[in-house]
Amino acid sequence: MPRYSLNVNGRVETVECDPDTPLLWVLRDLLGLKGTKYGCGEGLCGICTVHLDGAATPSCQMDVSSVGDAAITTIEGLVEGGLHPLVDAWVEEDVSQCGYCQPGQIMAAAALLASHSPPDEGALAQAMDRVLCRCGTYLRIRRAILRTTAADNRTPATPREVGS
Amino acid sequence: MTTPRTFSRRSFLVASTSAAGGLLLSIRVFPADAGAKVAPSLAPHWLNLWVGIDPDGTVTISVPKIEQGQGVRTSIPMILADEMDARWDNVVVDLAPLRGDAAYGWQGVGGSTTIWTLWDPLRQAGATAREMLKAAGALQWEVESSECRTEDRWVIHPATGRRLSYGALARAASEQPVPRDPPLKDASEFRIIGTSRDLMESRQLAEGSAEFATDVREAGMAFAAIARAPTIGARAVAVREEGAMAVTDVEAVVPVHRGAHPMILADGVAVLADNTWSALKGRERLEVEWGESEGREETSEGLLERFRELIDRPGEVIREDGDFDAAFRDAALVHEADYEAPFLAHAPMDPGSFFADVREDRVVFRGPMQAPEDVAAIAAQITGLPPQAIDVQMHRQGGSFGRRLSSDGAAEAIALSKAAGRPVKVVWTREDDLRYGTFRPTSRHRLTAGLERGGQVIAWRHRQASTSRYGYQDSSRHPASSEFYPGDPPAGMVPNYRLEYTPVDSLIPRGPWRSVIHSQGAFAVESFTDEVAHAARQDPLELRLRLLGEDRELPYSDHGGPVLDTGRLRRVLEAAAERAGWGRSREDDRALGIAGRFTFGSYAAQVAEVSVDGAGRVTVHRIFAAIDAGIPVNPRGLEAQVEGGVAFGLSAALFNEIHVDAGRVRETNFHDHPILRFSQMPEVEIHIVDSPHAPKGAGETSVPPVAPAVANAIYSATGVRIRKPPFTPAAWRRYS
Repeated sequence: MPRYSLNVNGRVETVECDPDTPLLWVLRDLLGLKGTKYGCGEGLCGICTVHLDGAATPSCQMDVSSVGDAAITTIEGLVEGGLHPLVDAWVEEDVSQCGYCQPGQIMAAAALLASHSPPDEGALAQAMDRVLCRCGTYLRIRRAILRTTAADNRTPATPREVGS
Repeated sequence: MTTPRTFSRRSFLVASTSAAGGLLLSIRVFPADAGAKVAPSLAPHWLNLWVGIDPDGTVTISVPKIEQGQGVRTSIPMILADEMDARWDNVVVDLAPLRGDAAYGWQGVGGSTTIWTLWDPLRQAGATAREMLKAAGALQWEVESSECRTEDRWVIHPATGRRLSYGALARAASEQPVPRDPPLKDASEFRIIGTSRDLMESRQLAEGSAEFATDVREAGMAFAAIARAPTIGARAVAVREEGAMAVTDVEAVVPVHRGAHPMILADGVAVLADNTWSALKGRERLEVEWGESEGREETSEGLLERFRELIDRPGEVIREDGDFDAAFRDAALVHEADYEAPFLAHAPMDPGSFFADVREDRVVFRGPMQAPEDVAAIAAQITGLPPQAIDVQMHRQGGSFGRRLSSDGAAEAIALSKAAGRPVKVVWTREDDLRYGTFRPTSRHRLTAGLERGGQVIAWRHRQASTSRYGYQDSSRHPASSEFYPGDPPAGMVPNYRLEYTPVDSLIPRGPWRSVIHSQGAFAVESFTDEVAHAARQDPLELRLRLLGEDRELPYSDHGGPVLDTGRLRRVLEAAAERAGWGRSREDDRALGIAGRFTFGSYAAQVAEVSVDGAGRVTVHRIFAAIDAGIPVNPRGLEAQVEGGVAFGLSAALFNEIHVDAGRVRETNFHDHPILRFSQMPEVEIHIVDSPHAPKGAGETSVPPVAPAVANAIYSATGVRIRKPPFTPAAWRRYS
């Protein structure tokens, strides 16, 4: 069986699996990184979003054989080693209801803020429309994202990238 | 970062629950502030079933209900902590196991009943604890308990100014006799109830470290994907497993017979593998020959056709006030319209994974559910094992909205584990979730009203032809009043009122969907009320207030009763209207629509602010939402339920319909079953009505007004009355 060396959250992880295995299932089943959730398997709901070299990507749409040496950041990597301003904002705004989609929401928001901080309405909609929430937490997601950018402009809440 | 800790259940509870034939599980403890201030405790002194205290002051409060986004892990301890005068920062949550002795009552979640039914028991448990702490303090000071009072984790003897902390009194308090009928606080004394508190586990949820039922993984477990009958009722006739077995890491192919338990929705063949992807790929390669079934005759369009025929005939009379026919004959103005409601899917973001481990002498089940007692019973039925051998473990789950009141996923997993002889986790994909759902029933409503010359509504008939939300396999189960409650407005407000019901059989699976029967009835009745107002040249709010009449209590014998308070319904209508600027002339292209309902014992009204472009595309800009669910335990949590209800209702109103063609669900994923997205979410301006009443339902009450408020606003904006959701451009053209 093929072996793949993946750069996950700044560490090299080696997995053995079929080449068409989606990154989502590599993360969840083979690496035990269960913060990344399954929602649709077709790249339609965005809740399995991770970062590939900083870009928000639905992990269900990325075959393990296509990842190469791209730096993969999951929600575990994003929050590793300390508090993340988006997580704080999520807590402050009491965003979660069932909570299942929220890691994907935060990953999408973190990638957005890396390039747009503070984000204009168009950028916000484009990034966050990709991640569905059935509980209807969108208003609080919006407030939480804007809270991280409005609080202090000198230290914009750009996400900390993990990995190379 | 705080990681939830898992550990064995306290030994004495193990003993006591075992003796009661109960079920024993691990527990997890979370600090109340979602931070790391409070060390989880291993051995509090228990004052009663619900609450224990540690010498360090930590207060452990049991939550016996499943968390799925309603916030019960926060609101349940808030009620108890307030009544006992605990300090909120000291509170940790004990996830109580499913009990065999019903000591906590029903541990399922549904019908918006959690806070409503636990309000009294939690307050009594808190008051009991408080009195025991007072007694312990009084004993130590050699004074009367009645001379002492409590405040913010202290027992205080005001005469001498002495005080002892709850922690210091924990052991002594646990040895005090349990008082009967301890006094309860006056609402003016609440310190935690009515204040907004952070959601328990807020941080863990955001960080992705909170464990969901779907995340369960145990040693030796196979991941399983089930190829289910493509047509309702079809059976697997032949299976060729070579293709599936050739997939890397596929380990076995095992049939799951529908006959293994009546709850199982479809005959299936499971592919077991070492990981999810291999199981899914194996399922793709599996070749199953399916037999013919009568389910092939089932279509959603066919049901709507059948309703169209039946709606011309009288149905069974469910309620009759006065003489509708006579009043209708005498009416100066009459109006009639038909409404339709499609099948709807729940589509929780987590389509679900179900873990079951059936051994010779025990069963462990871990997975999403709303009815854990049902799951335990199903496990016993499938395995023949006694209740004490069945361990049903309750986890947080990624939404359910009524879908998990049907325990089909659990039944299937238990049957599969038994057949396979090993622990399995059945993984549901989104396609599985949509195609094998238990859908909100489809229905048709004919509403007929007569008004006298002064504009008063004197005759009202509501005739409904509907599939029932009950029973799809035993189609004889059609409780007569099941799809519109006889007490629902305008019953009791119109002197000549008749409710008729014609049940229609179908093999298409159905079940409760957030707000249950109110989702369809409210749309029809609240839209039609608007029609009647316009036909009579009355303001829709004014007509509603006229219908409500004097503030009074009407008897209401169904879920949410025993009474409907017309004054409370009036106040939410007025509050929503006032905030929306109802009746003011507008200069933009937006228009307003209003609706208000009494559901689950609570009152909700909404005004939708909507615009419609030339192509019939609807934009919902704002929802002004008023709610009276009684005393709000956690106002910010209640607001979340309102926002959630609006979003859930809007997805259905704007986008969703489940079609069944020849016994097969057409919709498969979010491309053909879209749900509301971030930029489509309207602003929601919430007004929580000041209410002295005990809390009632909050999780579902904000769903029913959404669709009619939007439909009424669309009419107000364009003069087009859409009588069947979803309100797509195609629907707008059809009704134009």
